[in-house]
Amino acid sequence: MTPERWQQVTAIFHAALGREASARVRYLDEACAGDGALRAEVDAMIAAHSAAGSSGTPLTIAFTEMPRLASGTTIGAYRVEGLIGAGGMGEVHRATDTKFNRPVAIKFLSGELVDSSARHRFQREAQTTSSLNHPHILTVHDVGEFEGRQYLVTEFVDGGTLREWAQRERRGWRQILELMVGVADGLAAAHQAGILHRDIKPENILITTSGYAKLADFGLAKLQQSAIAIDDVTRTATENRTRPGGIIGTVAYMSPEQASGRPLDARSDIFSFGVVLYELLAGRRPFAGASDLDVLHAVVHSAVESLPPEVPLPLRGVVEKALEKDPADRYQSMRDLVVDLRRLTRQTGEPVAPVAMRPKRAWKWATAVGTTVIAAAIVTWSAIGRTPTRPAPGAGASQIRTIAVLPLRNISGDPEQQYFADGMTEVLTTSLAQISALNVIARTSAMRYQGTQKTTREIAQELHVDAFVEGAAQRSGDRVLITAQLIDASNDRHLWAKSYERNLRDMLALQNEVAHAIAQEIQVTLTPQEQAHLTDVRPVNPEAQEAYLRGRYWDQKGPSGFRRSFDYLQQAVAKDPGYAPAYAALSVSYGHMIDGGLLPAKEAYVQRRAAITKALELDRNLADAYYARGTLHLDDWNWQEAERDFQKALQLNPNLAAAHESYAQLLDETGRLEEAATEARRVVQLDPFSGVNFTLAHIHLDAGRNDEALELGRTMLDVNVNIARRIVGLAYIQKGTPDLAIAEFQQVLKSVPQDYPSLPDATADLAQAYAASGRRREALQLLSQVTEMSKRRPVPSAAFARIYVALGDKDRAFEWLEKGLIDRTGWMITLKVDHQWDPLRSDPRYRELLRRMGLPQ
Amino acid sequence: MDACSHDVTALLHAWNAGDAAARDQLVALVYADLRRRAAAQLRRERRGVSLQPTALVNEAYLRLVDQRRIMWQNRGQFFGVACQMMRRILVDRARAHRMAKRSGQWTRVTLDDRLKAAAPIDVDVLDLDTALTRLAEFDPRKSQLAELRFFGGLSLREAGGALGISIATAERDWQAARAWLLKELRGEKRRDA
Repeated sequence: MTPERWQQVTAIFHAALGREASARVRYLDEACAGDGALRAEVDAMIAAHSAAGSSGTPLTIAFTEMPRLASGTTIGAYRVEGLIGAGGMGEVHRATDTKFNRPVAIKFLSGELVDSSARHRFQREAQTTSSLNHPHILTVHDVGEFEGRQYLVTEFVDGGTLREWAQRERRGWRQILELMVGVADGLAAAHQAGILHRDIKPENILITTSGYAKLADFGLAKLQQSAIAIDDVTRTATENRTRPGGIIGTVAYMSPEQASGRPLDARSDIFSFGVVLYELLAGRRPFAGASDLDVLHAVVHSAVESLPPEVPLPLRGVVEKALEKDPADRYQSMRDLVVDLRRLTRQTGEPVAPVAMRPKRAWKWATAVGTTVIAAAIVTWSAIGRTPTRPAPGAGASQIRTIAVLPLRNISGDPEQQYFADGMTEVLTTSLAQISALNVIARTSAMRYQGTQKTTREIAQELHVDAFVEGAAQRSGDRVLITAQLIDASNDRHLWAKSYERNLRDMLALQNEVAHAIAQEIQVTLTPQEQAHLTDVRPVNPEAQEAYLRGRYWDQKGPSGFRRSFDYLQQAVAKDPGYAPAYAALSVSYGHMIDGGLLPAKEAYVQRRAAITKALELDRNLADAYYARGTLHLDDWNWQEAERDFQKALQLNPNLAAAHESYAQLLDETGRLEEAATEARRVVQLDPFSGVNFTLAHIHLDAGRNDEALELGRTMLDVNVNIARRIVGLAYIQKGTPDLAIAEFQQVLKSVPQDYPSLPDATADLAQAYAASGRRREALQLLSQVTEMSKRRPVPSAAFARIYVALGDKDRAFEWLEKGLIDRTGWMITLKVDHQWDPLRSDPRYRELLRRMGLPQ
Repeated sequence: MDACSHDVTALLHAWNAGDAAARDQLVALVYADLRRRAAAQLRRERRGVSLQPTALVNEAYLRLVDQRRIMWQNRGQFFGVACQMMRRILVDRARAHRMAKRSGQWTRVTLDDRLKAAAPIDVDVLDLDTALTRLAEFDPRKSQLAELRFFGGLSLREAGGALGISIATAERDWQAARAWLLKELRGEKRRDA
């Protein structure tokens, strides 16, 4: 129809509608004047109009489900035996190929390939895919059409998807690397054959029961481009009915160009592969969000968070390169990525993780504990391809005074046992740390080297140690197997090696025995007290022991593990009420539960105190318990008692980094800045990666060493960007350049979530900077923001005081500080030393406040 | 449109100027509105599996996300694009799910003007799409109007506003467009039968 003709049609149509039915026919006869086609057109429109009525337009859309194939159906040579699964791509049935009498999988694509060219393309792509004879690509046997639906016949994989594999247990990066390098190779081969996958996700990677990966569903995405996305949308919507906007699986693995509907090439697959690899390594998706809108936005715009530190740097680099937003910045070919991954797997064959556990020994141990473990151990070791090296016996130990216990390897082959290896690492560290003649690097810093690729020497340099202890741990029922070696960091020689097999009950004795042996080996002298402590141990209930190790393990996982840690530690003391370290750990756990808002502060406080008392009742020489009590006193502003406890803790365990840190804070807050700096530097030495530099930076600020604080703050930007920025900002204010501080604080404020407890203080920081640079109006605005905040949530009184001081309103500042004596939160503890309170110092009210806080005047 | 629609225009400007936060606010705003529309569109599903309103909106957004470079002149244009997306989604969906007609599997849109109509008119969404495309060939404005009405669930006033035409013109356009489309769709049905 031409526009002119259409104009004619509508004109007559409207005119006819404007007439009474009786007059209409005559009008139409005239208007169409012998043009039969015109008349028919208008008549049909009028009829449709009358049938439809005149008002609104609800629109209803219904889709009907595809019929499912019944078992027993025969499709050519295939006998359908049952549905395996149904998803975005269609439904998959298990079947028997009667011609070859082999199991196969038949995948019916959802929907119909509408035109014959699409059908043809599908057949052709299936043929191309079937020509890809690669061990890591699911073999396509056949392709066909049944009742209008296209299907693929593939080899049958008895196993599960990569998603299930990942969820079944915690997988170490080596295991992940081993598995995924095969997938990468398959994908590279496909790309070389000119085939894109377009829908790489854990659901499309199948894992055989023998742990072998196969990439499935090649190129189907293109054939059913719309079907996939929409089916997934639907499925997700159905699954998440209660949660609108749930994450769509496919969206999470899309490349930015895919998410934006731009043309794709191999680099899009590379991105998706990177997403999968990232998810496996991190245990979370690189692009996540509350809704798929957020996910999508993240895919296109957000930078990826770093992978956890246990993932070796080069591997992180590979993933990051695959996840570049701009295809031009990514790997340009899958082959390049494979080359890099391969190199990494080879590197793991070298003694990168300085664990002296050798294959033969693993074998011997495994024999002792059962065949399942043997198999696992063999697989693990042979997969890693470690070459045995012979320990150098009897080497002399010259002046070894600083050592680190590197994470003991979990050689059980069962990732669930990781807690045990980690727990043993910790208790061994603790035992050694009690030897005053030794400097023992804190566990938190040593744990960074779990699965590291670094050489012995590199680690030695980073940690400034003379020697390492390394080894492996395994638990089987009540049996505990430990191997330990002492390695001279300067020449990589084994100074000493021994393996132990004990009952779990005797674990405390075992850890002390190992510590004792090491002390002897490096000829450090034990004080009689240390001697006694290392030999005087009681047996522990194995169940309590296990619960304790699990509790400690989860505690180290940070806030997400606090609840679990707490539960395990509760179990530990319930199973063995005489187990002092468990009480000490429990008291720390109470503290974490309170901080995390997981327990009501008041009750938990009482229980926290009770746990400490109990621990000390059971063991008067437990450094951890004194430390725990010290922190309690510190929270109570009971500075003297706190100091006594920290000193006692450090006397019992001179290497207890946490106690050094708390003590440094105490010394800072009470104005003993030089001693504080000494303590803080000691922590940096013992626990270089704990982030304790923040304490030191604050001490610098309080001591007026602004440039040093500034510099330290800058180096910490990649540790904790917000705390580092705050330090930088505070240093700028103290240096008299508050303008520069504003930008820092603005950044912090922008990234602090609205419900974070630190929000009021972050706001006060900025207000302070505004006030200092003469921008009173902005400062006042922030003050009213904090006031607003205080209506909805607890705001530390000190935060108000800080803003008023900065605004020069001493009276109001004192009012709020007075209130701060009651709520005792926030920056009250800085009253003695922080320079922002300088304007108040000459006021008698200030001295009175110090007095009431128990601080020196 | 909604009371917040002037915000939409302001946010579009800010978004165009590169303010990413504006985009987020815009999405939040539009999202709620689109959801309402999608719900209206799908509330009366008759059988089978239907798209959840949220899914539909998400999908629309998915396609909207990188259209930032398009300079939205006004909110009408923005919603116009959103509705166009809805249409594509539904069409794709229909295509994916359409079974061979001989197996009796249909994907249909029900145009049901009278709330208590004795027999709603069933049309294939793909046929509707084809008809809209044909209409666009000689009368793009009416085709767009119908698209806004069918796929965006916009009222006549809203749709007219989006297209910048008066309510009277919108009414006339709609009458003609609807009649022609229904005529076309009936023809399709007859041909199939």
